[in-house]
Amino acid sequence: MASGLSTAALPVPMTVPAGIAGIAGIAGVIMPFEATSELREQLAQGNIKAQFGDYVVAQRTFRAALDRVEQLSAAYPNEQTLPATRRSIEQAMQRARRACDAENTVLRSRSAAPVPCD
Amino acid sequence: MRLSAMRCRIRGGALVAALCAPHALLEAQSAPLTLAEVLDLQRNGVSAFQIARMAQQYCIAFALSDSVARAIEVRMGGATLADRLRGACVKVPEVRAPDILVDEDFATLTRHVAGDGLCAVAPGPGGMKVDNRRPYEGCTIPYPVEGYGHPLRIELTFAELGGAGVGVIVLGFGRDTGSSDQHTIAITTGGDVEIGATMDGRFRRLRPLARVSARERGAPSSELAVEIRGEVVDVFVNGRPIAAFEAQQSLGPGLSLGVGPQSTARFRRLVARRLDVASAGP
Repeated sequence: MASGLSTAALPVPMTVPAGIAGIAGIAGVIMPFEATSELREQLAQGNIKAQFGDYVVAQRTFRAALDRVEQLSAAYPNEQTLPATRRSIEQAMQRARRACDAENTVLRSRSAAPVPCD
Repeated sequence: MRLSAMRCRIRGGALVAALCAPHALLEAQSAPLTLAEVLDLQRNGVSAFQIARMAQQYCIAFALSDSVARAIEVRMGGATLADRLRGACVKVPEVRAPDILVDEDFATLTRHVAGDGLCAVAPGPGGMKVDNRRPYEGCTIPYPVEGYGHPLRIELTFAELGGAGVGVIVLGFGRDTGSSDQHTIAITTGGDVEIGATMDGRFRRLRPLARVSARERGAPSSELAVEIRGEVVDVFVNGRPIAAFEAQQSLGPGLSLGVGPQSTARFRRLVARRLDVASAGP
Protein backbone atom coordinates (compact mmCIF):
# COMPACT_ATOMS: atom_id res chain seq x y z
CA MET A 1 0.00 0.00 0.00
CA ALA A 2 1.27 3.35 -0.89
CA SER A 3 1.87 5.52 2.15
CA GLY A 4 2.15 8.69 0.18
CA LEU A 5 5.77 9.12 1.30
CA SER A 6 8.67 8.39 -0.99
CA THR A 7 11.54 6.56 0.59
CA ALA A 8 13.90 8.77 -1.32
CA ALA A 9 12.76 11.69 0.78
CA LEU A 10 13.69 10.00 4.06
CA PRO A 11 16.95 10.77 5.84
CA VAL A 12 19.80 8.61 4.59
CA PRO A 13 22.11 7.15 7.22
CA MET A 14 25.82 7.98 6.46
CA THR A 15 29.02 6.39 7.61
CA VAL A 16 30.80 8.65 10.04
CA PRO A 17 34.63 8.42 10.25
CA ALA A 18 35.90 6.82 13.39
CA GLY A 19 36.53 9.20 16.22
CA ILE A 20 34.40 11.94 14.88
CA ALA A 21 30.91 12.31 16.22
CA GLY A 22 28.60 13.34 13.47
CA ILE A 23 25.04 14.17 12.99
CA ALA A 24 23.38 12.71 9.95
CA GLY A 25 20.96 15.01 8.30
CA ILE A 26 19.55 15.95 4.97
CA ALA A 27 22.38 18.33 4.30
CA GLY A 28 25.03 15.78 5.16
CA VAL A 29 27.38 15.40 8.13
CA ILE A 30 28.23 18.44 10.22
CA MET A 31 31.91 18.70 11.24
CA PRO A 32 32.28 18.59 15.01
CA PHE A 33 33.41 21.68 16.83
CA GLU A 34 36.43 19.85 18.23
CA ALA A 35 37.86 19.42 14.74
CA THR A 36 37.66 23.14 14.10
CA SER A 37 39.33 24.04 17.35
CA GLU A 38 42.02 21.44 16.71
CA LEU A 39 42.91 23.20 13.45
CA ARG A 40 42.84 26.59 15.12
CA GLU A 41 45.18 25.30 17.78
CA GLN A 42 47.61 23.97 15.18
CA LEU A 43 47.53 27.28 13.31
CA ALA A 44 48.21 29.21 16.52
CA GLN A 45 51.03 26.85 17.49
CA GLY A 46 52.66 27.27 14.09
CA ASN A 47 52.43 31.02 14.34
CA ILE A 48 53.99 30.99 17.80
CA LYS A 49 56.86 28.83 16.55
CA ALA A 50 57.45 31.22 13.65
CA GLN A 51 57.28 34.17 16.01
CA PHE A 52 60.15 32.71 18.02
CA GLY A 53 62.17 31.90 14.91
CA ASP A 54 61.54 28.16 14.92
CA TYR A 55 60.52 28.18 11.30
CA VAL A 56 61.09 24.46 10.69
CA VAL A 57 58.72 23.40 13.46
CA ALA A 58 56.28 26.09 12.36
CA GLN A 59 56.18 24.74 8.82
CA ARG A 60 55.87 21.17 10.10
CA THR A 61 52.92 22.22 12.27
CA PHE A 62 51.28 24.02 9.36
CA ARG A 63 51.78 21.03 7.07
CA ALA A 64 50.19 18.73 9.66
CA ALA A 65 47.26 21.12 9.87
CA LEU A 66 46.91 21.11 6.09
CA ASP A 67 46.91 17.31 6.06
CA ARG A 68 44.18 17.36 8.67
CA VAL A 69 42.18 19.80 6.56
CA GLU A 70 42.45 17.35 3.66
CA GLN A 71 41.16 14.51 5.82
CA LEU A 72 38.33 16.60 7.13
CA SER A 73 37.44 17.84 3.65
CA ALA A 74 37.07 14.24 2.51
CA ALA A 75 34.95 13.39 5.49
CA TYR A 76 32.87 16.55 5.41
CA PRO A 77 32.71 17.66 1.77
CA ASN A 78 29.99 20.16 2.50
CA GLU A 79 31.82 21.83 5.41
CA GLN A 80 31.99 25.48 4.44
CA THR A 81 34.71 26.58 6.87
CA LEU A 82 37.42 24.24 5.62
CA PRO A 83 38.43 26.12 2.45
CA ALA A 84 38.85 29.30 4.49
CA THR A 85 40.86 27.43 7.12
CA ARG A 86 43.06 25.98 4.38
CA ARG A 87 43.69 29.47 3.03
CA SER A 88 44.58 30.74 6.49
CA ILE A 89 47.09 27.96 6.97
CA GLU A 90 48.61 28.46 3.53
CA GLN A 91 48.95 32.19 4.18
CA ALA A 92 50.61 31.48 7.53
CA MET A 93 53.07 29.19 5.76
CA GLN A 94 53.88 31.93 3.24
CA ARG A 95 54.32 34.52 6.00
CA ALA A 96 56.66 32.26 7.92
CA ARG A 97 58.63 31.53 4.76
CA ARG A 98 58.94 35.22 3.96
CA ALA A 99 60.01 36.07 7.49
CA CYS A 100 62.60 33.31 7.44
CA ASP A 101 63.97 34.54 4.11
CA ALA A 102 64.15 38.09 5.46
CA GLU A 103 66.10 36.94 8.50
CA ASN A 104 68.47 35.05 6.26
CA THR A 105 69.05 38.11 4.10
CA VAL A 106 70.32 39.93 7.18
CA LEU A 107 72.35 36.96 8.31
CA ARG A 108 73.92 36.40 4.89
CA SER A 109 75.01 40.03 4.69
CA ARG A 110 76.95 39.37 7.87
CA SER A 111 78.37 36.07 6.64
CA ALA A 112 76.42 34.23 9.34
CA ALA A 113 74.89 30.80 8.85
CA PRO A 114 71.30 31.01 7.61
CA VAL A 115 68.50 29.62 9.71
CA PRO A 116 66.62 26.65 8.19
CA CYS A 117 63.25 27.64 6.83
CA ASP A 118 61.51 24.29 6.38
CA MET B 1 83.37 55.79 5.44
CA ARG B 2 84.68 54.16 8.53
CA LEU B 3 88.13 55.22 9.60
CA SER B 4 89.45 51.68 9.65
CA ALA B 5 88.24 51.10 6.09
CA MET B 6 89.83 54.36 5.09
CA ARG B 7 93.14 53.35 6.62
CA CYS B 8 93.07 50.19 4.54
CA ARG B 9 92.37 52.21 1.43
CA ILE B 10 95.01 54.86 1.86
CA ARG B 11 97.78 52.40 2.57
CA GLY B 12 97.07 50.59 -0.69
CA GLY B 13 99.09 47.74 -2.14
CA ALA B 14 98.37 44.04 -2.40
CA LEU B 15 99.99 43.12 0.90
CA VAL B 16 98.12 45.75 2.84
CA ALA B 17 94.91 44.84 1.06
CA ALA B 18 95.41 41.25 2.18
CA LEU B 19 95.97 42.41 5.73
CA CYS B 20 92.93 44.60 5.66
CA ALA B 21 90.53 42.08 4.18
CA PRO B 22 89.97 40.03 7.37
CA HIS B 23 89.36 43.22 9.27
CA ALA B 24 86.77 44.32 6.75
CA LEU B 25 85.16 40.89 6.99
CA LEU B 26 84.98 41.10 10.76
CA GLU B 27 83.48 44.53 10.48
CA ALA B 28 80.80 43.24 8.09
CA GLN B 29 80.06 40.31 10.37
CA SER B 30 79.46 42.54 13.35
CA ALA B 31 77.71 45.34 11.46
CA PRO B 32 74.83 46.71 13.50
CA LEU B 33 71.30 46.51 12.12
CA THR B 34 70.33 49.57 10.14
CA LEU B 35 66.90 51.12 10.40
CA ALA B 36 66.24 50.05 6.81
CA GLU B 37 67.01 46.45 7.73
CA VAL B 38 64.74 46.61 10.78
CA LEU B 39 61.90 48.03 8.72
CA ASP B 40 62.50 45.42 6.04
CA LEU B 41 62.36 42.63 8.62
CA GLN B 42 59.12 44.10 9.91
CA ARG B 43 57.66 44.39 6.44
CA ASN B 44 58.40 40.74 5.82
CA GLY B 45 56.63 39.63 8.96
CA VAL B 46 59.58 38.88 11.20
CA SER B 47 58.31 39.09 14.75
CA ALA B 48 59.28 41.81 17.20
CA PHE B 49 60.88 39.11 19.33
CA GLN B 50 63.14 37.96 16.51
CA ILE B 51 64.09 41.48 15.44
CA ALA B 52 64.91 42.38 19.03
CA ARG B 53 66.96 39.20 19.33
CA MET B 54 68.98 40.15 16.24
CA ALA B 55 69.34 43.68 17.58
CA GLN B 56 70.74 42.26 20.80
CA GLN B 57 73.21 40.22 18.80
CA TYR B 58 74.35 42.86 16.33
CA CYS B 59 73.28 46.14 18.02
CA ILE B 60 71.42 48.79 16.08
CA ALA B 61 72.95 51.48 13.89
CA PHE B 62 70.48 54.22 14.69
CA ALA B 63 69.35 56.20 17.65
CA LEU B 64 65.85 55.26 18.73
CA SER B 65 64.45 58.77 18.56
CA ASP B 66 60.76 59.50 18.96
CA SER B 67 60.27 59.74 15.20
CA VAL B 68 61.98 56.40 14.62
CA ALA B 69 59.93 54.81 17.38
CA ARG B 70 56.78 56.21 15.79
CA ALA B 71 57.75 54.82 12.39
CA ILE B 72 58.26 51.39 13.90
CA GLU B 73 55.06 51.59 15.89
CA VAL B 74 53.06 52.53 12.82
CA ARG B 75 54.38 49.52 11.01
CA MET B 76 53.84 47.25 13.97
CA GLY B 77 50.51 48.66 15.06
CA GLY B 78 51.91 48.76 18.57
CA ALA B 79 54.92 49.83 20.57
CA THR B 80 56.22 46.34 21.06
CA LEU B 81 59.26 46.50 18.83
CA ALA B 82 60.25 50.02 19.85
CA ASP B 83 60.08 48.95 23.48
CA ARG B 84 62.15 45.88 22.81
CA LEU B 85 64.75 47.77 20.77
CA ARG B 86 65.33 50.18 23.62
CA GLY B 87 67.26 47.41 25.30
CA ALA B 88 69.57 46.90 22.33
CA CYS B 89 73.07 48.32 22.16
CA VAL B 90 73.44 51.23 19.77
CA LYS B 91 76.41 51.50 17.44
CA VAL B 92 75.75 54.57 15.37
CA PRO B 93 78.35 54.59 12.58
CA GLU B 94 80.82 57.40 12.82
CA VAL B 95 79.60 60.22 10.65
CA ARG B 96 82.50 62.29 9.48
CA ALA B 97 81.77 65.94 9.07
CA PRO B 98 82.04 66.99 5.45
CA ASP B 99 85.47 68.18 4.44
CA ILE B 100 84.04 70.87 2.20
CA LEU B 101 82.42 73.56 4.32
CA VAL B 102 81.75 76.02 1.54
CA ASP B 103 81.73 75.62 -2.22
CA GLU B 104 80.23 78.76 -3.66
CA ASP B 105 80.21 79.69 -7.33
CA PHE B 106 78.07 82.80 -6.76
CA ALA B 107 75.68 81.83 -9.54
CA THR B 108 72.51 81.89 -7.47
CA LEU B 109 73.00 84.88 -5.19
CA THR B 110 70.74 87.84 -5.81
CA ARG B 111 71.88 91.18 -7.17
CA HIS B 112 72.47 93.71 -4.44
CA VAL B 113 73.33 97.40 -4.31
CA ALA B 114 74.64 99.00 -1.13
CA GLY B 115 72.56 101.68 0.57
CA ASP B 116 74.74 104.48 -0.78
CA GLY B 117 74.33 103.16 -4.30
CA LEU B 118 78.10 103.10 -4.81
CA CYS B 119 78.78 99.38 -4.48
CA ALA B 120 76.92 96.83 -6.60
CA VAL B 121 77.11 93.07 -6.47
CA ALA B 122 75.86 91.18 -9.52
CA PRO B 123 75.93 87.37 -9.46
CA GLY B 124 76.11 85.46 -12.71
CA PRO B 125 77.37 82.33 -14.45
CA GLY B 126 80.94 83.65 -14.60
CA GLY B 127 80.94 84.52 -10.92
CA MET B 128 79.95 87.49 -8.81
CA LYS B 129 80.97 90.87 -10.17
CA VAL B 130 81.65 93.49 -7.50
CA ASP B 131 81.86 97.09 -8.61
CA ASN B 132 82.83 99.63 -5.96
CA ARG B 133 82.76 103.32 -6.87
CA ARG B 134 83.41 104.63 -3.39
CA PRO B 135 86.41 106.92 -3.59
CA TYR B 136 87.93 106.11 -0.21
CA GLU B 137 86.20 103.06 1.23
CA GLY B 138 86.16 99.43 0.35
CA CYS B 139 83.13 97.27 -0.22
CA THR B 140 82.87 94.06 1.79
CA ILE B 141 80.47 91.14 1.57
CA PRO B 142 80.40 89.05 4.77
CA TYR B 143 80.25 85.30 4.38
CA PRO B 144 79.70 83.15 7.48
CA VAL B 145 81.47 79.82 7.73
CA GLU B 146 81.32 77.24 10.48
CA GLY B 147 84.26 75.00 11.00
CA TYR B 148 87.01 76.85 12.73
CA GLY B 149 88.72 74.80 15.36
CA HIS B 150 89.82 72.41 12.64
CA PRO B 151 92.74 72.97 10.31
CA LEU B 152 91.08 74.87 7.49
CA ARG B 153 91.91 76.01 3.95
CA ILE B 154 90.06 78.85 2.28
CA GLU B 155 90.45 79.40 -1.46
CA LEU B 156 89.17 82.38 -3.38
CA THR B 157 89.33 82.35 -7.16
CA PHE B 158 88.91 85.73 -8.80
CA ALA B 159 89.32 87.45 -12.15
CA GLU B 160 88.96 90.79 -13.90
CA LEU B 161 90.59 92.75 -11.10
CA GLY B 162 90.67 96.41 -12.11
CA GLY B 163 89.48 99.86 -11.23
CA ALA B 164 89.87 103.56 -11.77
CA GLY B 165 93.04 103.62 -9.73
CA VAL B 166 94.75 100.70 -8.05
CA GLY B 167 92.37 97.79 -8.03
CA VAL B 168 92.36 95.83 -4.80
CA ILE B 169 90.72 92.57 -3.87
CA VAL B 170 90.44 91.52 -0.23
CA LEU B 171 89.85 88.17 1.46
CA GLY B 172 88.93 88.57 5.12
CA PHE B 173 88.80 85.79 7.66
CA GLY B 174 88.67 85.19 11.40
CA ARG B 175 85.89 87.68 11.94
CA ASP B 176 83.55 87.18 14.89
CA THR B 177 79.86 87.79 14.50
CA GLY B 178 78.99 91.39 15.27
CA SER B 179 82.55 92.59 14.94
CA SER B 180 84.44 94.16 12.07
CA ASP B 181 87.77 92.92 13.37
CA GLN B 182 89.34 90.47 10.98
CA HIS B 183 92.53 89.40 9.29
CA THR B 184 92.88 90.22 5.61
CA ILE B 185 94.88 89.27 2.57
CA ALA B 186 94.73 91.84 -0.21
CA ILE B 187 96.15 91.81 -3.73
CA THR B 188 96.46 94.84 -5.96
CA THR B 189 96.46 95.06 -9.73
CA GLY B 190 100.16 95.81 -9.40
CA GLY B 191 100.80 92.43 -7.79
CA ASP B 192 101.36 93.62 -4.22
CA VAL B 193 100.13 91.28 -1.51
CA GLU B 194 99.29 92.82 1.82
CA ILE B 195 98.68 90.86 4.99
CA GLY B 196 97.05 92.73 7.81
CA ALA B 197 94.58 92.75 10.65
CA THR B 198 91.90 95.16 11.72
CA MET B 199 91.58 95.36 15.50
CA ASP B 200 89.12 97.68 17.20
CA GLY B 201 88.58 99.39 13.87
CA ARG B 202 92.28 100.08 13.24
CA PHE B 203 94.19 98.37 10.43
CA ARG B 204 97.71 97.11 10.98
CA ARG B 205 99.98 95.49 8.41
CA LEU B 206 101.37 92.23 9.77
CA ARG B 207 104.02 91.48 7.15
CA PRO B 208 105.98 93.49 4.61
CA LEU B 209 104.34 93.61 1.21
CA ALA B 210 104.96 90.60 -0.96
CA ARG B 211 104.66 90.55 -4.73
CA VAL B 212 103.41 88.17 -7.34
CA SER B 213 105.05 88.08 -10.74
CA ALA B 214 103.70 89.82 -13.82
CA ARG B 215 103.21 86.44 -15.46
CA GLU B 216 100.97 85.33 -12.61
CA ARG B 217 99.06 88.59 -12.75
CA GLY B 218 98.37 88.01 -16.44
CA ALA B 219 96.54 84.73 -15.83
CA PRO B 220 92.80 84.69 -16.68
CA SER B 221 92.03 84.00 -13.04
CA SER B 222 93.98 83.89 -9.83
CA GLU B 223 93.64 82.03 -6.58
CA LEU B 224 94.22 83.41 -3.16
CA ALA B 225 94.36 80.84 -0.37
CA VAL B 226 94.98 80.72 3.34
CA GLU B 227 95.54 77.70 5.50
CA ILE B 228 94.66 78.18 9.14
CA ARG B 229 96.05 75.88 11.79
CA GLY B 230 95.21 77.23 15.18
CA GLU B 231 96.74 80.70 15.25
CA VAL B 232 99.20 80.05 12.43
CA VAL B 233 98.17 81.17 8.96
CA ASP B 234 99.91 80.31 5.68
CA VAL B 235 99.16 82.44 2.64
CA PHE B 236 99.28 81.19 -0.95
CA VAL B 237 98.82 82.97 -4.26
CA ASN B 238 98.18 80.73 -7.23
CA GLY B 239 99.36 77.76 -5.20
CA ARG B 240 102.67 79.37 -4.24
CA PRO B 241 103.37 80.09 -0.55
CA ILE B 242 103.75 83.82 -0.03
CA ALA B 243 103.96 84.24 3.71
CA ALA B 244 103.14 82.76 7.09
CA PHE B 245 102.13 84.65 10.17
CA GLU B 246 100.59 84.25 13.57
CA ALA B 247 97.11 85.60 14.10
CA GLN B 248 96.76 88.52 16.49
CA GLN B 249 93.76 86.98 18.24
CA SER B 250 91.69 83.86 18.16
CA LEU B 251 90.07 83.46 14.78
CA GLY B 252 86.29 83.59 14.53
CA PRO B 253 84.20 81.80 11.91
CA GLY B 254 83.40 84.69 9.60
CA LEU B 255 84.74 85.21 6.10
CA SER B 256 84.42 88.27 3.96
CA LEU B 257 85.06 89.09 0.33
CA GLY B 258 85.63 92.58 -0.85
CA VAL B 259 87.28 95.07 -3.12
CA GLY B 260 89.12 98.28 -2.34
CA PRO B 261 88.08 101.85 -3.22
CA GLN B 262 87.24 102.34 -6.90
CA SER B 263 87.90 98.67 -7.60
CA THR B 264 86.12 96.01 -9.55
CA ALA B 265 86.60 92.26 -9.57
CA ARG B 266 84.76 89.09 -10.39
CA PHE B 267 84.69 86.45 -7.66
CA ARG B 268 84.52 83.12 -9.38
CA ARG B 269 84.60 80.64 -6.55
CA LEU B 270 84.97 80.41 -2.79
CA VAL B 271 85.89 77.11 -1.20
CA ALA B 272 86.50 76.40 2.47
CA ARG B 273 87.60 72.93 3.38
CA ARG B 274 88.88 71.14 6.40
CA LEU B 275 92.44 70.01 6.15
CA ASP B 276 93.39 66.51 7.23
CA VAL B 277 94.76 66.48 10.74
CA ALA B 278 97.72 64.58 9.32
CA SER B 279 98.54 67.54 7.07
CA ALA B 280 98.29 70.01 9.90
CA GLY B 281 101.42 71.90 10.59
CA PRO B 282 103.64 71.59 13.64
